[in-house]
Amino acid sequence: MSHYATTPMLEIKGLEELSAALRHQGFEVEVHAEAVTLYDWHGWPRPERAHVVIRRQHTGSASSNDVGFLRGADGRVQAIISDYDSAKFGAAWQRALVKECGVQRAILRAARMGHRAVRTTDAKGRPRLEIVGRF
Amino acid sequence: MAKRIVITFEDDLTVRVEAEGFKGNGCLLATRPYEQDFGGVVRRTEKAEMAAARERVVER
Repeated sequence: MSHYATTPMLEIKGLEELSAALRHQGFEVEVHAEAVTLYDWHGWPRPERAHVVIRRQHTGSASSNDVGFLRGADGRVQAIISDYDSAKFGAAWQRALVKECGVQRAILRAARMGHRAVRTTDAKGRPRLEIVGRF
Repeated sequence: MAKRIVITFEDDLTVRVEAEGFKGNGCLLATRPYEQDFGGVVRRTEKAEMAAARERVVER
């Protein structure tokens, strides 16, 4: 007997999967146990703080502000993206990031369980993981 | 058939977890940790290979 299961919609669950997802997308990221200050495109500090940060020089935009992610007391992760940067890091980008966090979550789970995750893309362009090992 | 779990990430941000090659409840035990990481299961479809699938809704 085998089965298919469908889960609820993904959301970002932790900083480990988030940083892995951002690195997978090619960003250099900082991860901090305590939230740190974000800086604007002038290099001036902003009032917002974040646990995971893409510094402005690593965003790929010359006049960008830092992009941050703050983990709240409830564990939920909030993106901190300036209006200027929302053109590049808007809803579509954030949606793709959430999906990638799910991929990284499963890869991390596989590693913890001694399984191997083989990543491919299916015919529709969706990420696909094949988990193999001793079950 | 070798045992494996296939996870597909849908565009609507749901995740499809498929177990293949397991016997009995082995598939449920194998996929449970992955399903729990994704917040549980909203729908499960059991499939006996080459037979009609029986579909049921699992309460969260």
